[in-house]
Amino acid sequence: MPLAGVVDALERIHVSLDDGGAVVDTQPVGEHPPVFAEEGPLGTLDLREWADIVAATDAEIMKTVEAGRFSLVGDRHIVVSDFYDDLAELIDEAAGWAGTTVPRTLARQVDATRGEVRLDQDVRIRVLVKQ
Amino acid sequence: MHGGAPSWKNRGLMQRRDPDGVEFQAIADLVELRGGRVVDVGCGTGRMTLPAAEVAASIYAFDPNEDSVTKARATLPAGLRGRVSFRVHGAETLDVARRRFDVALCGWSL
Repeated sequence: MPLAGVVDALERIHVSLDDGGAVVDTQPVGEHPPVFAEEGPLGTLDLREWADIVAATDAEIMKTVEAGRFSLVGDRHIVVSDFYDDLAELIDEAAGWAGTTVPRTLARQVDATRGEVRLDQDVRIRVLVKQ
Repeated sequence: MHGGAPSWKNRGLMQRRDPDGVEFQAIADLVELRGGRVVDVGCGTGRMTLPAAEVAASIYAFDPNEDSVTKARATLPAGLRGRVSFRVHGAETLDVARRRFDVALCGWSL
């Protein structure tokens, strides 16, 4: 979502929530999520640019907290795993993700890697309650 | 987290992202969804919509990507369709005058 859209979305959500209603915001926040094949780790994706986008979004969200529209009541991290038929499929998908780069060290392993791969992402879950 | 033998073999994956529902379970631990009116903001292909529909009273799920909404609608079991309204639009056109919710799920969408 474009940054300007975040503010508008939160305003609309705020209006549509009953008093005490909650916004659950989840985002992948790890800068270097690891990729695994059955044989072991293959490397990481580079999500540093994405992390910058998340930081900018966070700043907008915190403005709504400072304005008294929401209070931040929960913040938790979990690991969310994605599964792909093979490394080539993961790289093909990741190429379309915002703020994501596939390092050459990972891409070079496509031909040598067989079978399913797993991507583990650090996902932050935050709960904002309407004030 | 990173060690041990992979455990995803032979599980007949229906969903590539978080097939075990770890994220939804963590959300359900943090907020009360049971019996609630939920809006799924940027629902995509319905990864959160389906489990939410199993416990919530009603879901309003929207996404600007029509193909994603079509997929989400298609994967919803017939028994849950009465609880879920899918729409194709962005957050900027959420009709706040007509909609009231208890929980807004923004899964990787803000």
